[in-house]
Amino acid sequence: MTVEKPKIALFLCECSTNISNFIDLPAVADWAESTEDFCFVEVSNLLCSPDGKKYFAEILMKHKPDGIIVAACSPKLHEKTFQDVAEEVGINMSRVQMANIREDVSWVTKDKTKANEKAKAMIKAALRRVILAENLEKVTMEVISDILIIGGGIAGIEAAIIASKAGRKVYLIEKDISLGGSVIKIEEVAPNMECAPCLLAPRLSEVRDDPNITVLTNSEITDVLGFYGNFLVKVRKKARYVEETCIGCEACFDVCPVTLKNEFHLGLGNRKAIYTLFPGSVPAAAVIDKEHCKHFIDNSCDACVSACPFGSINFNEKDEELEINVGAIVIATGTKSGDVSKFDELGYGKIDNVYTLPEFERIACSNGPSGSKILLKNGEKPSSVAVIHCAGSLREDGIPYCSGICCFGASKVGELVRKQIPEAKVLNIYNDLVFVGPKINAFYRKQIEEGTRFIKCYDLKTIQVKEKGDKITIEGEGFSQIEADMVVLSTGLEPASGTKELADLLNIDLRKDGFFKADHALLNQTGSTLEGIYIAGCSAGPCNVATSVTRARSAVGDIISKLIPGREIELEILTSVIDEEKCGGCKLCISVCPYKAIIFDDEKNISIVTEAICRGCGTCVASCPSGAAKAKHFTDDQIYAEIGGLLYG
Amino acid sequence: MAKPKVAFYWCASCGGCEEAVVDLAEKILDVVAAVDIILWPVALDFKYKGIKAMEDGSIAVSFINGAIRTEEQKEMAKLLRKKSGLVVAFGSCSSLGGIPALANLTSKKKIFDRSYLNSPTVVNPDGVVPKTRSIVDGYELTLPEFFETVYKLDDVIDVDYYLPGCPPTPELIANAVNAILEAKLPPKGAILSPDKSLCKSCDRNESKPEDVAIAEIKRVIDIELDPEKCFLAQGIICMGPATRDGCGASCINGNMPCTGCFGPTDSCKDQGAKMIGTLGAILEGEEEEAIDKVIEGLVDPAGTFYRYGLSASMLGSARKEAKDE
Repeated sequence: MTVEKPKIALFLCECSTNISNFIDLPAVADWAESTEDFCFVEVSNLLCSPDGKKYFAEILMKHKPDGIIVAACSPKLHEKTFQDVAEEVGINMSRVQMANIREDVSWVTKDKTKANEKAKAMIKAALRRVILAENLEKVTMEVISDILIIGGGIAGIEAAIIASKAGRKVYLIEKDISLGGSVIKIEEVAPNMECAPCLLAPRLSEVRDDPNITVLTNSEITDVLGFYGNFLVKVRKKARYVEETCIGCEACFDVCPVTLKNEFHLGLGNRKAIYTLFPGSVPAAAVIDKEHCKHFIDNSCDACVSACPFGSINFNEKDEELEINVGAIVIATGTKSGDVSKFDELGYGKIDNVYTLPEFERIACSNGPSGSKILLKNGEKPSSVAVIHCAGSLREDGIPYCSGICCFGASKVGELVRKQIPEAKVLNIYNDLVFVGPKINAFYRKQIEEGTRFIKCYDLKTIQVKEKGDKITIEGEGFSQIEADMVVLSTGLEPASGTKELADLLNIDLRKDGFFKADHALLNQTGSTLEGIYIAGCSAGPCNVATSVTRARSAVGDIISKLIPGREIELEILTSVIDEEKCGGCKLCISVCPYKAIIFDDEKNISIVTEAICRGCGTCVASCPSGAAKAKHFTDDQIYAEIGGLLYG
Repeated sequence: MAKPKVAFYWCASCGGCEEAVVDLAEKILDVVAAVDIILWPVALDFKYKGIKAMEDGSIAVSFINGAIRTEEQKEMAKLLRKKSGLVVAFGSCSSLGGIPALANLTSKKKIFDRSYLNSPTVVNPDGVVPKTRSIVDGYELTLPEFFETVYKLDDVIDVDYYLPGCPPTPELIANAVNAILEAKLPPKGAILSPDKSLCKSCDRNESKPEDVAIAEIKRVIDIELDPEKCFLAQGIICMGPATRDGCGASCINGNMPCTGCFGPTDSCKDQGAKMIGTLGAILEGEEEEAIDKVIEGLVDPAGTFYRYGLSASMLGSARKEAKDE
């Protein structure tokens, strides 16, 4: 049997004068001819131009080479260009090999003789590699146009509604027992002092009644596989022990003997072991807190069962594991208030009537623990309220950055206090003030006009909040001691709990401040670092309600403009494969795969790559101790051949 | 019909491979009955000149164990190659360099200095070190040259098959002999042991979690070894994942981790480098400092990753090529 020598075509591109001024291309061509390794050798100019590509195609059709070397620029620039032309004339893309003699040679090598020798070495390396090329088959699949939204706050709700309007099926996942997020806990949204529950209520009903939107509350993501256009999301829907027939009538609340701190009121009020977050929540059904319910603890109580007029209590409900196929994911997990309890000098958690800003919002809320009345612990109205800006912020041991919206919230305290107690004095202690934009700045000026005093502190770290009889005193550098009945700490905003874990599950990056990193800080703020995963609301960084909602609309807009039903996407072609015959089943590749594309076949005792999920990163190939894992188009043989060509010709 | 002729020869080796042949026990009688052993220096007295006088290719198969350290070993390997139809590299040293190849981490001079001059038990006031030629009382004495590098057998002659192991197991030896006698041989160049990693037949593989993350590298002297749990899951470096199957997991069954004597699988070019790559993927620690701390636990990297394979490693190849011996 005689093996025919592979036919290799070599194109040497002058790249205007970028290459030809530094490398003697005719000499390199003569050398290439003399090696008798090539069926075609030619120096041409601007091969990437329309004329150049046409010529390239003509030569390929004429010579029908087994391999093509384009000695030109970086493969990052034009490898795809030439691969596409090759495909057009029926030659597999894997047969095109770039030899980068521009960035790697002509631009960095002054000595012309050395440049020539380097160019020859690069061509030899390309030659050794290209003769080992194997055809790669393109696989396409239709995109899944359904959308998953993580987080049922105002951003997630907005995203769900507009995606549904575009005809998409939407899954809205919320970790809490009902939708609403942070905004539902606010009384009025500045600067227009719009009623927050009123903003949300119609949207909640819309989501509830929309057949395109599946709401999964009390649920969390346990795993995410796949890629843009084809994600498989695993969700754990925790048991409520109360069936959907429950309308939230609250008849069971009175009979439940267990009283617990109410998280919705940030611990300021109480709830029962069977509870809803607030009247009119979506879903309406209550939830039994299994950890504290006496039925689950010692089977000593079933008071709610007899109290329920709808027979909705079901102690036998089980957690459900769901698998959802979607094409894109929107993260709208929001933010949480910074922890100020660690700063002893601020008195939080130690001195009565010292609250955080979100707690104050709850106190002032009509659906709050004290029924919208701003009162001190002793039931009296405060005659003076002090607000401390940047509490726990702008310091390395707290939140090191400016959250950008807390000053606005802090200035709202005066407005809310004066509404109920017109004679009360309100005093804001600040170091920096951030009121950006005409509307917000006007709101701040209005507060000054209406009586809020703003006092500058030169160093917020010097602030000491102390108890003095019934009063609270505040001292700090730059002002004389202040006395107040109530202190509100304007806390900064941190990423929601679970942000890091979610980022790990989704394999996307976080910024240094812990919020999700945008694809591009200026041009694409709502795309994450991975295609098909979007960030909306405060998950992309602290922001106000308007920005939150705008981000949601931006994210969904991008999705519905790209993820069009019926559109095909090309699957990753350069995947890795594990040779069944060679795999020893050592499992070491499984843990290193960032895409969770490798599963263990218990019957065959080997690891298997799910090619539809594999992105071809090659990590498993590097980690495979027996050489059973291979990266297509980047096999060990190809790489060693290339290195060999470079070193030994 | 005359019985096929078989030669056993040893180069730089410990004798363990010879023991392995003896370990065939009563099966050796079948071998002896089926073949004519014409050379076996460890057991029987034959003269080299007898071999030299034989017709080229008249020995059916030569089993050569040990690495190539001296000119004499190289010469004998070449002689046996010339006289044999088949040459089988027998054992780790012959296949990969083995333990003797660890000497490639140092130089001939350092070895001589240590062995003949500086070792505390050496008394050598005249500083005599071995030389290829010495004149003593007017007589010329010669010694074979001690090479700068330890070679594996196929660095000096063409090898047909490889029997891996330190030493190869009696089963593998018997299988190889039978395959040769029955002429049921795989393609030339094959390693006569399954082309899978040891994990495939290791009973402990099931106890290996899917996420093997090593937070601290331990040595067998550091902890009480769990007799059932995967060694990697215990923080012990086990070369099993990067080592060819076929030994019957005898070390593992003795509650010791695999040290890699069967060498890599066919698709792996460098056993030690491969295992380092693998460990790189499973050692815990995000920051460089944390990773450095884990690596501190690795007290003998060369002995861990290249205990048997230094002659076959790409790491040694530049030096080998630099000096044509």
